[in-house]
Amino acid sequence: MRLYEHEAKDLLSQHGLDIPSQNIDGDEERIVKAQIMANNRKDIGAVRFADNLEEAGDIKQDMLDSSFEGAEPDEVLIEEKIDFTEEYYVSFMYDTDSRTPSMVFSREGGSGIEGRNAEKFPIEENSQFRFRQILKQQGIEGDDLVRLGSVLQSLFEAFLEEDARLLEVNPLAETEDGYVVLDAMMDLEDDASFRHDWNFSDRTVMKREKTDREVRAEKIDEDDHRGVAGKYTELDGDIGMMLAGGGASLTNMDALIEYGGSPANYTEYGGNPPGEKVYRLSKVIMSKPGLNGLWHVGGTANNTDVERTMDGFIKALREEKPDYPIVIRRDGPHADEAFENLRKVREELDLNMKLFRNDKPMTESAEDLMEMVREYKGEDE
Amino acid sequence: MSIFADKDTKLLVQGITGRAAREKTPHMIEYGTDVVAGVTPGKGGQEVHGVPVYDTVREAKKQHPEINTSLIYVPHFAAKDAVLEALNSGIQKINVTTERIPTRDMWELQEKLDNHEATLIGPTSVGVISPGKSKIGPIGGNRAEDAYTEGGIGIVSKSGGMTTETAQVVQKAGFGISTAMDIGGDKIAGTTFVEALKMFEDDPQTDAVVMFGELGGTYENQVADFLDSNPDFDMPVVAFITGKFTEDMPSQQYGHAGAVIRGDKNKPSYKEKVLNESGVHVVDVHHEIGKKIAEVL
Repeated sequence: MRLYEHEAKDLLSQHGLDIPSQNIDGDEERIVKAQIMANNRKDIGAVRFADNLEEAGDIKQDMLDSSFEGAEPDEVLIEEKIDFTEEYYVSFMYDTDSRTPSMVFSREGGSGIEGRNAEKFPIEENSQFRFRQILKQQGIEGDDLVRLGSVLQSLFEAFLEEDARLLEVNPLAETEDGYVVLDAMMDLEDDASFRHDWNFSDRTVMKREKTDREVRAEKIDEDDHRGVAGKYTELDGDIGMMLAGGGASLTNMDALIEYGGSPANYTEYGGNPPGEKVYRLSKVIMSKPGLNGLWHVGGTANNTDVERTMDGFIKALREEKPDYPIVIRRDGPHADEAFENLRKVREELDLNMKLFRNDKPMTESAEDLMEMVREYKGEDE
Repeated sequence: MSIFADKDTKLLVQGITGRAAREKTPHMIEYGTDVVAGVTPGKGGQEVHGVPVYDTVREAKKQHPEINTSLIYVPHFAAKDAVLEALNSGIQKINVTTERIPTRDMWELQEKLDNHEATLIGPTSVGVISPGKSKIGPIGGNRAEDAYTEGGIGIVSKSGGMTTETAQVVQKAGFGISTAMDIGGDKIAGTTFVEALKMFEDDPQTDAVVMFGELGGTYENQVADFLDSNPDFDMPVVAFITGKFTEDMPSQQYGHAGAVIRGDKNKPSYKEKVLNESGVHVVDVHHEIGKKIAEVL
């Protein structure tokens, strides 16, 4: 769960970190910040300054009526403008290199950090000395070493205790009164929600608006929680992809591309979903215009009932009656019955469809499909 | 020989009375795994498919001192506690099927595992199988013998379903399996690719290793570093890395931290490159694994 800046700051303040005040005297200068998920808010006008209360109110209203690269803010944060002497960059993330959390730190924080050098340091244990070690290495000494070390440890504790996947503070400003979090980004781990009272509104972090088909697919899992059959990402290609299993679906996407195909979508179903869910997902996939082929592929299922799930797919075939080539490769519980039903529908509807069990390597069936697709496209021209 | 699971495996199933564990336990027994006992707090005195259930691991271990391996089948909020309980009773081989364990819990467990000199495979692991000897977890389902024949190829995979699919490709090429293990795709893995390779290196039955990697993390890249600094390692390694297509899809920028910690190193194409440079035999399409083994052995 990605947090907005004001939510992250609230959490950090609960862990004893200083954040800018939101109660400001009338004529003080203010900073007005649209609450959207973007790294470059200053550049796109989502962070602006105001000289007084009235101007801040006008900017806020203006922001609420605006769209920033497709993001429309629901909230605008107004804070006191802080004078500072130094800007630090600090972030925490788990790191597979060390199998520990790592801290990324730079003495030159603030905007443009992407272009500057920031080093990462594994944090093996939650102790203050570790932060002093790192700061000393960075040339920080005296009172600063002790005070900043203690602030870094508080940030690390917030990262741990809030079960964050990412905590990024940029900048952490050094002021006359101490260190203040001027901007913060936080991503909480949904898998740890059982031990928190998180109460954040729904949000999506997409690069683009969802397509109608993606919205329709999403509904499938919302309506029925048995198994998963609602993941669907629309792509530019012409081969419909009905993919079973997590690792297998990635592997098969790569295989199709390797054999010259272009996927019309990515999807992944699994966890033994009811036939009705598979039917709805199949309909979404087949509804994309301009398909030149369809690949229904998965490994040898351990749990998923192949007959039941294939029945959903067959129902969609009966309604759509595709004339483009289809390849199916699947095996697992009740696959005998499933393939009997597939042979029947192939005969009834006179489908251009090849059927494979697990004596055919999964990714090899991509080659078969692409051969059929080339023939199909050739006949059409 | 084989690794982690063998004919001397004496298995404890923690969380044995849950739905999934109840369903999978008979498959392990039918395969020949010695499932000695189960534990579910509050359900002591029950039986699951003839396996006695105890309230605590300590009690199970007292009644069955031969227990040497634990399979964790508990919900994610209880998983860390279950692993600690196994360690507390001196169990040094732990396989965790549980998915969605918070990363912090896995990090905190890491140090305890080191202190107890224990090996944890998982989390999010469908298990470990040493064909003809025993299987731990749901790996291969109730027809594990179809995909897994005994032989000299070790498999280590981040994907459960693809572990069995990989075994089938290996079998089709005329080879058998020494041990196949799913190490899971979690951020903090109990056993990494390198640690698995070291285990296979010490196993006289294993002649070559197949690794199935994917996008994300750097455990694959560590294999390249390991091979570069261990020129004595002479076992052929065949690798397939999945998820290349995702590199062309729009992705969410993950702050500057993402750029520094992950960079491009978590991309499949980068992993393939460094593995290739270190002498690993990388294949582009999954089923080419079989042909490649025949070539290098």
